[in-house]
Amino acid sequence: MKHMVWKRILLGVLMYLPFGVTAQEADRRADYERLQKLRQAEAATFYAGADTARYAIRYLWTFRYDREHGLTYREDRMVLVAPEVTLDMSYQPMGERLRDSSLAYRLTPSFYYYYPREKRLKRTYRIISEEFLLQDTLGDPAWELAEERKDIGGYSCRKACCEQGGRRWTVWFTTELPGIAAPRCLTGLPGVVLEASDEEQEVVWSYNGKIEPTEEEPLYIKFPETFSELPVEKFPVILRLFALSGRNNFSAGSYIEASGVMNKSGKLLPEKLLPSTGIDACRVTNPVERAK
Amino acid sequence: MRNILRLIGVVGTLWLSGGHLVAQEVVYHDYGAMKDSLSSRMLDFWRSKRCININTVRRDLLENIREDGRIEEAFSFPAKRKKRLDAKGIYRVCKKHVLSFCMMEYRPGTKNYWSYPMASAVVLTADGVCVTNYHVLANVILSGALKYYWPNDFMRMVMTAEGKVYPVRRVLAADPVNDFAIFQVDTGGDRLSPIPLGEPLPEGSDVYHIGHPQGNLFYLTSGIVARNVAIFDKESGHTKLEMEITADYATGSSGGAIIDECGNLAGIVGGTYSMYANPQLSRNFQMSVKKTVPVKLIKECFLLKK
Repeated sequence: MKHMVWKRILLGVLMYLPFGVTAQEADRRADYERLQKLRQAEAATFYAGADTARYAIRYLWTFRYDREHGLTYREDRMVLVAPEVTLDMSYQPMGERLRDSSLAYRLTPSFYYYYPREKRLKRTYRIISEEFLLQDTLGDPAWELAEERKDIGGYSCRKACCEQGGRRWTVWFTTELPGIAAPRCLTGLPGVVLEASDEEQEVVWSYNGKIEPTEEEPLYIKFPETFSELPVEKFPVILRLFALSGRNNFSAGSYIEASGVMNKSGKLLPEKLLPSTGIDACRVTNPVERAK
Repeated sequence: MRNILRLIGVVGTLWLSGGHLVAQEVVYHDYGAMKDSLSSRMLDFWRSKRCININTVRRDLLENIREDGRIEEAFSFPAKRKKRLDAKGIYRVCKKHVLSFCMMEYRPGTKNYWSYPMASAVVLTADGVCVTNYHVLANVILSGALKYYWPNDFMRMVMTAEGKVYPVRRVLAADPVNDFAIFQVDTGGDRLSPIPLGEPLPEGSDVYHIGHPQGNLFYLTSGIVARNVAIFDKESGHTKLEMEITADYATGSSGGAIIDECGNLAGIVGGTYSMYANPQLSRNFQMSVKKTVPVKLIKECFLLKK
């Protein structure tokens, strides 16, 4: 008799188990959708009035930062292109949102805003929620245009060279895409740079596709409204501490998280960058910009 | 015969009293009472010396730390010891150099202060310069770097073997890669007892450890240097130096002293790496590698002016 009772209970549990699992799955999905909506709402508020890019160019950036040991750093970067401004930044946050499995999984929170009309380049850097303005300069490199052409990603590109930061650069730019844009400081050409490298092939931006904005994923370009109250001359000290405390980028954020600094900004930024400093966590003995 | 008996009696009495005297030298410390009195001692110091709290240390952090992680300020270090000591001698001579690194928090619910030992540290100069692990001070350093303040975090302090407490006054240097940080405490005019800085030790050298494993204050263990290792991280290009030893220690020993056979500092505790026969499941524990921070790194941190 007892066995019969137990059998019935067990049968009942087994019968209702799949419904329970399905309900859990549905709850998870609902939670994810709720978070996505929340993020989109936060982004809409945060980015109100910001520029939106027509498209972005994605690059794989490779950088031989240590010649002696032959160490190379890889990061997915992108340049967002709008008529008045372009923005060179890490592709990592977007790639993660889109669950892009081809990511290099590196994130340097450095941002290069370029204003083509003024030939003005502003470099900012974000450590957790603190924004630092590191550079605000005018002028482009002096380019030598060559007649050589090649096809990159289906776009016809023309070669150009310049000397910049102690390196000789060769870039390939196209005029078949709207706007003018380039990674980092390689600005000033009448088109969009799809590939760039120095003559030693130590610093290379390889074209890795064109990103079109969607309704769910607009490509916002927003220059920070306010900067950190911390003195910018102390930035190297701060960067060193954060870079070395989380030098494995994605696995060693625990000191940073435990320190509470992630909660410093009451209002969270819609782009929740991981506490990573990317290339700055590496011991760079072969800098991109060499001594002038 | 009487004289012989008297002689035996005198010798026996002397021997017994001598034995008794030796036994009296062994002191059984009430370390629990030391821990219990931490808050009251710290509050006494705070009231009488008007020292700064840990959020002020956070506020001033960037003023005191250099970009290269080194210390420019000149400090005076004690001369190296040359005479070899046994384990008893090491403990007797070096216990005073070792500190318990403690934390003091305000509990708004009960409206009182709560203090507890969290790690170890070592005195380097008489005016209060000390060393511990970076991970012991990481919270203060990283939050201080961005001027983020913890409202109920009141103090970080050290406690000496005599039970005296001194609050952390400033952080002087931090090396997150090699896991050590140099800081200074407010001695309130007292002179602390610094340990002499030793030389890098080759494999096989005898070493001692005094620290506070899991709050067991001033615990002595011994062993040898098993390996000196340079670990090159191919992801970041950074190199970490480690002196691996066989002396035991545990959580709470972090920042504790690793001492050479003469009583000089050979390093500080770093971490442990446990080996299991079944590493996937962390089952069947076999041995634990004790990774310490070599004294060479601590010495190099000071831009010693000759």
